[in-house]
Amino acid sequence: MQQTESMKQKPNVVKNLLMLIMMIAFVVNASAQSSQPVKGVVKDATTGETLIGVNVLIKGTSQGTITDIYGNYELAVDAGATLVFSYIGYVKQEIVVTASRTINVSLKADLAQLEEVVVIGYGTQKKSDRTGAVVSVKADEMNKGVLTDPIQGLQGKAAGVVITKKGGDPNSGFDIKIRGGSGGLETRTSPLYVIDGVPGVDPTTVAPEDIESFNVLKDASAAAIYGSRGANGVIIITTKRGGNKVGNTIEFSTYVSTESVANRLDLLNAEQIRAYAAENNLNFVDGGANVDWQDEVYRRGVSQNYSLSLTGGNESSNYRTSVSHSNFDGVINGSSKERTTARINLDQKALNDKLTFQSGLAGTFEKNNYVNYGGNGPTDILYQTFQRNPTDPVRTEDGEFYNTQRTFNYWNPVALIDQIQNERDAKRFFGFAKATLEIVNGLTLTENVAYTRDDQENFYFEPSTLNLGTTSGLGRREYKNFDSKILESTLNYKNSFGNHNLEAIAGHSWQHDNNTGFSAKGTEPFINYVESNDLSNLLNVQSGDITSYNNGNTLISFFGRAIYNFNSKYFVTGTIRRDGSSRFGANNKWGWFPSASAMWNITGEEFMKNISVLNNLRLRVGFGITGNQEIGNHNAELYYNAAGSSINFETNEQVVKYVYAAAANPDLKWESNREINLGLDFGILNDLISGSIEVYKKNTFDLLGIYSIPVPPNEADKIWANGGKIDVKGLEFNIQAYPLKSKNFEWKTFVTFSTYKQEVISLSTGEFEMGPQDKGYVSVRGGVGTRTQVITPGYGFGTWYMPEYAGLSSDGKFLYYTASGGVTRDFSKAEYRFVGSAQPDFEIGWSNYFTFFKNLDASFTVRAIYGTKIFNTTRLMFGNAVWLPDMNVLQSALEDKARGLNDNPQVSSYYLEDGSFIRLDNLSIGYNIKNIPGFKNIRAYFASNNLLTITKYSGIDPETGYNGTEFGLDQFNTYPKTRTFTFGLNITL
Amino acid sequence: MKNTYLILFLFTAILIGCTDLDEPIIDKVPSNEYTADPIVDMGVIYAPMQEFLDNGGYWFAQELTSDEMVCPTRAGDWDDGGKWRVLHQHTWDNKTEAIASMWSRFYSGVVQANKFIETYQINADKPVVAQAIAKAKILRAYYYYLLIDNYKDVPYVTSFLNAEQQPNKTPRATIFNNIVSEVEENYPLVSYSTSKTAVTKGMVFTLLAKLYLNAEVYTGTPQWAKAEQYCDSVIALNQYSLEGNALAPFVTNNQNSSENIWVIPYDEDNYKGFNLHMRTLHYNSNQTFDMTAGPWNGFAVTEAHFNTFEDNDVRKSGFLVGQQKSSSGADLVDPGAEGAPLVFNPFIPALVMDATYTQVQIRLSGARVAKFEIKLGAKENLSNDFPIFRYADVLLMKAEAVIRQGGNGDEWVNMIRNRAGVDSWSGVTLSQLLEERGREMFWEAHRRQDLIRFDEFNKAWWEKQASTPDRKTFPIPQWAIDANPNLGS
Repeated sequence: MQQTESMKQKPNVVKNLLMLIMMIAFVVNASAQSSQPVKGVVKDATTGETLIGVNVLIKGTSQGTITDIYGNYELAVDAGATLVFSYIGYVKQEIVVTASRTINVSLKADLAQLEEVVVIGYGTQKKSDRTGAVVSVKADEMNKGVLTDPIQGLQGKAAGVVITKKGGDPNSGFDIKIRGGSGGLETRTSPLYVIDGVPGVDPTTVAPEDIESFNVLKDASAAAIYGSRGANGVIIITTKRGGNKVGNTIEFSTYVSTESVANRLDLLNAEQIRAYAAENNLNFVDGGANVDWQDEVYRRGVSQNYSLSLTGGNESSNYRTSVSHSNFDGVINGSSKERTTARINLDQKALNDKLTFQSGLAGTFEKNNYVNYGGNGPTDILYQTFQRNPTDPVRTEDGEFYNTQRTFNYWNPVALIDQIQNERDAKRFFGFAKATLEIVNGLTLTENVAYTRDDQENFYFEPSTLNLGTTSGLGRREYKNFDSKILESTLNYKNSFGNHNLEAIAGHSWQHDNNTGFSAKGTEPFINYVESNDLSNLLNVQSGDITSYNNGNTLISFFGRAIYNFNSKYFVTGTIRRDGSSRFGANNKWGWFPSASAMWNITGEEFMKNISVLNNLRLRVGFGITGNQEIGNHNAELYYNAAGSSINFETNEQVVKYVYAAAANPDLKWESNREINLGLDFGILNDLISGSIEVYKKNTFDLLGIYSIPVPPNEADKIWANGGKIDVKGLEFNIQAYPLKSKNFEWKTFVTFSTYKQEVISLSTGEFEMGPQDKGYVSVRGGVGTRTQVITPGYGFGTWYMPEYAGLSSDGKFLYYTASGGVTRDFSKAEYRFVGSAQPDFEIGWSNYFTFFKNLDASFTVRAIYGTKIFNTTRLMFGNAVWLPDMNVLQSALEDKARGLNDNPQVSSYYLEDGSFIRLDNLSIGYNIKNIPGFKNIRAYFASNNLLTITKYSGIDPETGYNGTEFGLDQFNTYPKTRTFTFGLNITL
Repeated sequence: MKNTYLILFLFTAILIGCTDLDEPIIDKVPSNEYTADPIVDMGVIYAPMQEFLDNGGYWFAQELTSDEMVCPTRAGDWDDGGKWRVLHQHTWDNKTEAIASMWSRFYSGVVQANKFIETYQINADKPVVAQAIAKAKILRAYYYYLLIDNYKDVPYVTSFLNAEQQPNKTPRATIFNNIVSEVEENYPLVSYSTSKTAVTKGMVFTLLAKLYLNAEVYTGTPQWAKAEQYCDSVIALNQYSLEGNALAPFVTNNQNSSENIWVIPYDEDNYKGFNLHMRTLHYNSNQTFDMTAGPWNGFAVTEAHFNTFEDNDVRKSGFLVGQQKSSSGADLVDPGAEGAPLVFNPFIPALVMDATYTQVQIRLSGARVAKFEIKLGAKENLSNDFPIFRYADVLLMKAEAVIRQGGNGDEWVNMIRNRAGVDSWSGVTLSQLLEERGREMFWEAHRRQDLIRFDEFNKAWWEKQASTPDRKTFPIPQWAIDANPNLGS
């Protein structure tokens, strides 16, 4: 108690100070008013507390004021005018001014507005009424600090939505997998994005500052409304709009942050290499320098963001317009990203509010500077940095880059960064226009037209002098364009008949996507200065160096949904969607995607009335079928595509070679995902503790795959076909609680937990068979073509399959287990074993939000991934003294040698490591200053990303993506994770 | 209310209007549009040969399984999961890369030939088409010759439209008889041509000579006289002759070499696929040849085979041994081998050189091969044409066929030896002949077949233990069995 007392004391000083500032402001303000003012106090109707900052406006004009810190307002106004009192979260009130010069007002809290709403696709629903597995994350719950991608704001916030990123490259995106994804042998496992109602839009068209909310449709019963594209779940992003507020708001926000390498590899230094050579009597060419190559390649990055938005309007029209500019420096020299996003959202009502017109227009302009990394090639920066001998100088005495060929593909990474041009210029446009007309009461028609376009241009150049001229140089320009047109019509009917409440929707959607691109390249640049800016500088351009493409696909859908509830106790939702896609075979272009779900509001029952501790208990069950069509275009048909020039043996003339990809399959159809979901929502002690628990079982069938077929009789040895089954079972829950909730101090904590198990059931179509699929090929010297994973029935994706390490022999050789249970030093006699999985056992997210005296707030987010195994190819490559003294190695190589290891590295479980981690993703502390005259709010904050990571993993970072069919391989392609410190300011006018 | 109906009508109209899912292919060629004239269409039948020296696996399977070539494991380099090692030690299985790759290249040629023959049958009354069909049948026979040589019993399919979905295997001898008679039936239609890439009479006679020379391996019945007859047919064409210099057929601009009968016309830009120099040259050998690509330091000749060359043998200059020099004549060093001089040593201490070997041993062991000229400024692919059939080979086959029939082959063997600058032999024995073939035909993908015909393939040499007779052919790849279980038994 004493503690609370003392805590109350401090802010009083602040409060008094603020009061003083306000009073001065008030006096200044008041002196500007004319005579005969109307005065009054605005209070909360329930608590009686005065309300600060309430908008008071003379209706039909732009004249008005706001209430001060005592809730007082004063405004010159003639009798007969109407005053409009509006305040966020309260019901607007209008009062006609009479002769009385004092008007005190009590505003009622707007329950409808306070009740959380979820977006469910083609509509919204009260959160408590939902029947499917839908989660909603609001803007204020998003991650703070530097967000290189808007989806980062959702990381760790929604149970079952695993958002990860391998490394800290500002130019690479996040892997998002909902409930373990669905299928994905050849189809993608990332979810469908729906932005402002338009499906298939890239989320990077949205600036994080413009996001109002994320809504995730996790289960098939909820996602079935998106039919053939719902199998991996749906993420709906809603951007901020003008809303119903009257008056103008200007928001300006900015931050600056510094980024540093969070963890680097522990490599030997020059002295250690020299000592090693001396100890072991090895002569080697000492470059004479002492260089920490990681220092030469890494840097401290600075990122900045500026964003400005204007919101305003009146009763019939509203707008929000914003522009945001960010600049991210990568911690590897030469990598950076610059992004500008602009957006205009308009809302207009007409015909006595019966017609609503909404539109949005957004543009994203992005410039990227890339560095090559990810393999062990001659231009791969990380590999070159790690292997580089620290005695080799960066430059010669003449100032030229120093290069020597100590070994194959051994080149100076600083020179590579300096000499290679690798840039991208991307532009994305997104626009929609939507008209909603109320035809008769309860029946509305909506027409929505949308267009998106993603254009990108790439510049790549390697000079002919690169790497001592062992290359003929390369110049390349590429354009990749994508556009999508969508036309959607929906009819919506909503009505209540006594206790029967019905909402139904019927719709049609037509979408056409088109991909076009152009690429030209050549070698032997005549003058390197020109880079790829003018390709006519290239002397050697071959047939096939110029390529282009142009292909499209059409998706047509009919859909309907009915939501019914009886007396807000029993809820039923039924959805049906029929999708047709041009991607499939002539016999199977159309597919059905039905779903049904129900919810029982148990707290609505009589027998629950006595259990007052439980204020909410709802049971949900859902079943649905969703589809996946994310394969390339025209895979059901046999076609020939140009594959470079060739020579005709008959005529000895040059010809264009045509090759075929796959045999025709007129039966090719949708990959489908069947899912059953059981959910329980609860609220205890008036939602002091609330949450949801979900269990689900998914079965993906008719898996799209590429099967081998015999040649002869077939011309192509592959065919696209449907077959195979994959099961996913999972459990997830989220709990939200208020461990402390008082007038001046609030602590909200939020925990998400998710776990799932994936199992391949079969890889057969009945007609065609697919053997175990080798995956996860490691790319190290001498290890090219060694698989580390296998996809086979009985196991999930990411299953490690390799010889199992059985210790060292007395003379320091690796020992492996054999099939007979013994051990062998002969790698070729080792048994391949299932030695774990890259898929995590579970993921936990823990978010905390603190508010002190309504002014000071703080938040932090912890995320943990447990039970994943990572194959550390970086250690396989650099963790062995065999490369010394010419190539650098990790400190652990000396430790291994000291233990007696004296053998060549081979792919085995010796290099498999626990990739579990706990990470303090995000920490922020902010202070809000309200009601400075002329300012609605000023917020200053400090934030940090990736402040702390706890892991046993020995590589750069244990976080990895989980998309696709192979993951968990760390082979010098982990761009260092960054630790950022951010200072930011948000100003609202 | 009128408006309501109008709106609902429009809504319905839109629904019905938009159901067209037709999406034509415009940036690729649909199968019904893919036609040209027969000469252009023949190109796809030859196409699989482009990959013979690299991803196709053919060269690897013929050379690395033999006693003349090896790809040693050089510490962490070139082990590649054992895919080279198992070839040399005859411990491959049906997933080994080279074995899995060859199959698809050979059958791709067969299927394209089948399709071509059936597509153009309707116009077979035109002489141009008739000759093209004859050539397609001969090419198909060539691919079946490679199939029975490498895989023994394989499905024998000669139709595209009426082929069985999952054909069974046909015995090797049956296929042999069929293809021999098909080639003999069709070659009269092949007109005279100086082409070294198209099917010509010279190519056909050499193919028949090869088939008959190996008839005993394929059928159990030797046919030496027939082999000799077709060697004579090649000689009688008077179209081919030995070059003066033993290495002249292998220079960069060898497209007009009088010695080459049938070649793969590689080009560094327009017909890539000949990159064996990248596999054999040392990382730093790029400085010797001013290359614009850094080679990979892998393949080497076995020491025993290197030693079969006499010092004055002109062909020995096709090896790189001893101190290597830069293009300007300076001695090269290997910075990765403790700065040691870049000296190739023919001695290879072990097939697997692990960390216990010195960097000099690991990196510099084994003589390297430059039989095919590596021009200054060579790129990652060479422009030298690669001979499949060569006149010197025909002369040696002639000698072998004569000796095997009890005759004397000195004349033809000595033509080869004298050109190489080594002494004549008299009373050449079969084992001498095999040795001479080893020297003359080295690196040209004949060694495996030769060793099998002389029954030397399964013997032990160096780090290769004696292998069982079933290793004379390769197993059918697992992926092909997965696609057609009838190939499994």
